[in-house]
Amino acid sequence: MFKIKALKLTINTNKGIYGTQTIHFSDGLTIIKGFNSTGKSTLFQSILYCLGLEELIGGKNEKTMQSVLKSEILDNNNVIEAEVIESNILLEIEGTSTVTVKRYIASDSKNSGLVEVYKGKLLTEPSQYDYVPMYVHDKGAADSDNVFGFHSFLENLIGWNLPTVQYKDGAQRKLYLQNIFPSFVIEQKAGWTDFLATIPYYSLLDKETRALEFLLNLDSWKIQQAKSQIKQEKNEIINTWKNLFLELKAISHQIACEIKGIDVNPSIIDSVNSIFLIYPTEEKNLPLSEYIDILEEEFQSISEIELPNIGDQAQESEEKINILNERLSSLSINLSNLINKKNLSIGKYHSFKDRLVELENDKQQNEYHLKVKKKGADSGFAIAHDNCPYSSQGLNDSLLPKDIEIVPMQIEENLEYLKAQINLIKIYINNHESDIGNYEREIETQNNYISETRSEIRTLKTQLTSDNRLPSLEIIERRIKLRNRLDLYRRRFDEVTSFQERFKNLSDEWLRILGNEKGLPPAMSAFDYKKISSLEADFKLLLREFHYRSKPIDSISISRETLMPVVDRYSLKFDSSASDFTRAIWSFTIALKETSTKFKGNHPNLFILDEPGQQEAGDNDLQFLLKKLGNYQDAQSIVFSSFHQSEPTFQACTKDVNFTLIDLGEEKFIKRLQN
Amino acid sequence: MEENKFISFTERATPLYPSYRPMYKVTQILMILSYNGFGGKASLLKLHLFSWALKSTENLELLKEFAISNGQSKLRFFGIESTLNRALNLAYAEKLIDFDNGSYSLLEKGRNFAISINEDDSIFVNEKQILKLIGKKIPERAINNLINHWKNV
Repeated sequence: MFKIKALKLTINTNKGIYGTQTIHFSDGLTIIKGFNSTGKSTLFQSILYCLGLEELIGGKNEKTMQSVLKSEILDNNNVIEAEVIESNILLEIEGTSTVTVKRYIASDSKNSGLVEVYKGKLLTEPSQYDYVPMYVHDKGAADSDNVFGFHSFLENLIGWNLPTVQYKDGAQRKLYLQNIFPSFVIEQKAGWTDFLATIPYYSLLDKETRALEFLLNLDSWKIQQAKSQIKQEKNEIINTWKNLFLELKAISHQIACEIKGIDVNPSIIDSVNSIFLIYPTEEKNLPLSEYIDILEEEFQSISEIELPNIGDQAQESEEKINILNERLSSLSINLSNLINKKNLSIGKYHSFKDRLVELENDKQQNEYHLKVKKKGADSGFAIAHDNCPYSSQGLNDSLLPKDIEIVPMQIEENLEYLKAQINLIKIYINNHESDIGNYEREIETQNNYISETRSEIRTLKTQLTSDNRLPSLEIIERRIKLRNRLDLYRRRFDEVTSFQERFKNLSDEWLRILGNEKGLPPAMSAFDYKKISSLEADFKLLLREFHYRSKPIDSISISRETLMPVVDRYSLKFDSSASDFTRAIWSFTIALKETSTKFKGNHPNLFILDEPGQQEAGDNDLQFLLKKLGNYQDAQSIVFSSFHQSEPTFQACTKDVNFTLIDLGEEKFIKRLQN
Repeated sequence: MEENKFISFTERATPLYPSYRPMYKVTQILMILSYNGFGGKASLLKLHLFSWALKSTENLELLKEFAISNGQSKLRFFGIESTLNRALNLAYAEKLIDFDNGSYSLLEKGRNFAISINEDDSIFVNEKQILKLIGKKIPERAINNLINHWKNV
């Protein structure tokens, strides 16, 4: 329950104080009647402004307000009467408690984003109440952690607990009040152009549907919520997994190993041991642990040998040098092969790049052509219509001689063809890029082998020219190298173990999320369907009562996807006459409240309607609307209307209607106040 | 056994360079006449030279160098294509250009179209920039010299 109790405008000018007396609104229907430009819209806008909802009129802060409140006051002949120095609006509102909101429009000292909230009935029971400054439109104004955010305060006052929704930037934020209010506060210009037309743009998907879900308190938004939550969790796992995988890949490359058991995307793994590294050798792929065993054995055996003297090893060393030399030459051949391949790839890569530039250029020329052709057609050129200006024969859109019998592509087709070519070339370029990268890595590995082999040969040769009685250098060096290698592989092996656990944890989390996803109910609960059917029934009943005629009422329904009224899946707007569409908005606005009341939804039982009698909707029907509003015991309505500036119209529209009248009369309502 | 053997072909449309498209070439002619012709006039050879230049960025750069170095930089040859002649015929029939005394000139309709092309910042961006830079720096005489050079070779 949310009520507007009273409103007061104060404008300090160079000619004294202007403004209004305190305007009281009844708990039922209040009709504010006045001629055009007496100040009805100013009052309507003032209410929204005080609630920090001026975005519904299309902007933020004081710029949305009329000049009477910010620059100058005009007399009845539209001549400037006084210059505004400072102005403010007081609005007393009742929710879980009653407070009075004060907001400045023109002020040198007070920011228009500032709202002062007095803790009491400042207008209906004036006294000295304490106040708290709060902010609107500030980052965090709607944030519940921010005690000074006015919208967060207002949300509590209305008794709402707004859901968190997913915005297009992927962030989860609260649904804004501005998103809900257009379903019961309807502004006269944009407000009657569509259902919930004045919701500002907040990069929120299906903003109307989110508002309706909240008003009807559907479960669907909770399901939606859960879905987007799961999606987010999934994305997190995917990212973490990918990073972890790349990290492991880097480590495995350092030790010339490959990863088995997982790839870059998350998967379900049964045990930590299903992830392992393998060391590829010429004969077969060894699991890392086995390879370490082999290294250990080798190290063991080499450590156990008693160090032979150089002289004892001379024969053996020479044989070894021969073997190593052979290996060296085969490695060199491999290397030069690889370098050739890489250069070939680079050559192709460059030629494709050149071709891409040509194609892009060609594409641009074709785009130019499309534009000039359109221009030419607009200027009535025959050639732009593929007609020959001489013979009115077809031109074929080609300058090639007639005896070259080709059928050129139409320009649009030609463009599509070029785009396809460009995409293809881009794929080639990518492939070559990755090929070049691969070759470079292989070349590096080969180079490493080569320099290792060379160093071994050097050691052996040094040994052959050294004193025969010295211990074998080669064996000593081999021992040290093996030792180092073994250390490195053992260290990496330990690291991999920690990776195994992290992957296993991620995989378990992944499994849990997938399980949750499976467990989600479809988009709506059975209770939701019941509510929507009820909304549909209420809506159609009202359409009948308001004499909606543009379409058979039976063909109209409430979309189960968008919750908006539709005819054959299309918005009602397209099939309705202007006056009928106004009737449809009335019906929908009221049906929302009735359904919400039936199912204890979140509708605040408040209507603020600015000029509902749009598009000649008819006095009888307007009278029916007002009667309906006036009869509500549990809802407050404030209706602004000029009633076509005619007393008979007013009488006809308010016949048998319970209401309180505020008559602004025929002249400007904001006047100089007597002191 | 007698068999009927048929091979059937489906004619497919062929992609075509924009410079072989009537409207594209005609637009280029109008641009050349308006930016580079003295009083909106140019000889056939001059149109061929510029039309050749507009075929590729390299050509256009060569012509630009030729123009800003006052004919000192090398421009030994340029191409002549019959497609330009066909485009000129079309432009003449469309009453965009006139032909008189060996040179082509812009007519009212052609001039207006050239103006609208000039004002549209989304088309021929690079081309317009360089054509304007070259401006009227290449007189007919320079082109005739070039041709005479060919004859002497």
